Amino acid sequence: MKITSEREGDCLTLKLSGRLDTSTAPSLKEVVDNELEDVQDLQIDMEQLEYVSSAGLRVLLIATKRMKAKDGTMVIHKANEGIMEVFKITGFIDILDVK
Amino acid sequence: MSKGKRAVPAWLLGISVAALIVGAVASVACLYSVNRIMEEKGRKLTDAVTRNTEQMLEIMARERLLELTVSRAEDFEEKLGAEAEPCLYPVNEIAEEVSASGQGYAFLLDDAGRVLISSRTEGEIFVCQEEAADLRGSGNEELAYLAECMAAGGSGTQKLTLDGRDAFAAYAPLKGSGWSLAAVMPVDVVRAPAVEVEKQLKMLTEREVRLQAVIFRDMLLFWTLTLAGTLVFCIAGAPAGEKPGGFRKHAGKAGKNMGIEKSNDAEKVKGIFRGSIEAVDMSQILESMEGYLKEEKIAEENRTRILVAVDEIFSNVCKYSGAGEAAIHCGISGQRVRVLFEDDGVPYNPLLQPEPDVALEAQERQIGGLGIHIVKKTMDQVIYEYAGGRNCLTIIKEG
Repeated sequence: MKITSEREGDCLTLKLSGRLDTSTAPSLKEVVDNELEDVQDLQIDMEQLEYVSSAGLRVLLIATKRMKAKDGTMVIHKANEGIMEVFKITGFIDILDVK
Repeated sequence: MSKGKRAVPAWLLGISVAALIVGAVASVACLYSVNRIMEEKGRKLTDAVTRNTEQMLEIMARERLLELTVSRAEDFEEKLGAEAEPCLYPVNEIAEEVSASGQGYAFLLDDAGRVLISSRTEGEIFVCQEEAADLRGSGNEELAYLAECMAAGGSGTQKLTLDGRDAFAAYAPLKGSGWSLAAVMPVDVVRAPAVEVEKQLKMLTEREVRLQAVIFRDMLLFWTLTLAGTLVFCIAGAPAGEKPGGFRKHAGKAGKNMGIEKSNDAEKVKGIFRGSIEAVDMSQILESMEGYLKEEKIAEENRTRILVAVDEIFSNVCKYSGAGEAAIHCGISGQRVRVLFEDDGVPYNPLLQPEPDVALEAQERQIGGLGIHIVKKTMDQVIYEYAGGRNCLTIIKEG
């Protein structure tokens, strides 16, 4: 998976491409751990992301908890049908702000 | 979608069918043999009882007849002393005593073997109005011998044939007159109670044999229904669309052979991974899997679902199973995809894991259990089996 990050003030946009699964989730976790300190608005672009497994969901859950803890926002964009299916099955559709 | 019930092995179905057939054949053979044995035993018992009864009745009848004859001969002697003429009265009286049915009779013989008085009016022993013949010269040798014994003044019993009918005769002399009194009773009259006993015993035997047949028939029915029920249960318990065999055939094999040796004829099978858990590279495995799915032109939406499932299942195997070795194989038939995961780790059925609560808020959510939940929701069948010391999990996605 490839992660491209764009920073603009307190807004961080992460563009994900490839797969968000067991082997790639640690790299997103690293970004979440290290780059959210001054961020109030986290935008995740999934247009190029093929699929998400539970390892990826785990990182997304950590990220959204952290943003909520500091009254920030986290929005997911352009998730494909397969990813949306996983969000629905797991109830993440209600936890995450998906657009 | 199916929750992946455990499939029934082919050998169990085979044993059930074989047990059904063997049980039915054995029961029928057993029923036949028992009937034959019971009939034979009943027949032997009836014969023995009838024979003994007949012998006992004959002995008793002969003794009674002799006792009666001797007693009547003594009475007769007294009357004879007073009247000095043979008379019919005592002969008829003894004849009545011999048999209540009127089939017995009595006669008086002089020392020349001639019948003086007889209770019969026809047959071999009756009183001829003309000069009576000497019975000692009779063509009936048994009768001639009886007449000989009587004329000689003896007493006793004898079995003989008179008028074509077997009979017992008892005789005793009338002392001082040279005459002899004889009482005759047909053998069939004596044996009548024994014949009745035989008839009753035969009825009892037949009833017993019928009862045994009913018991065995009911047992046969019971076992047949039990086995048939088991068979139906086994067949009904197998997951729809999943045939025994295929991937699972190798499961019982010993050694380190973890591959798929056999598969459905129309199914192409490819080994995705086989080896030590330490050598697992998930990215490589997923790429290999994706390459095969693309090669076989599996629709994209199912391709990603299968890749997610492989990631979920195999990452769990690597983290938690404690396995030394593991394998993944993928079988494709048209758009139908089957993936088998095997490992030699601790027995663990992920399907028994409690369903996660997917309605909780973000702050309350735990991530555990979501992986297998996704697999169960996106696959058409998920089947777990522990066989040959290995965890075997099969996922199936229909096209």
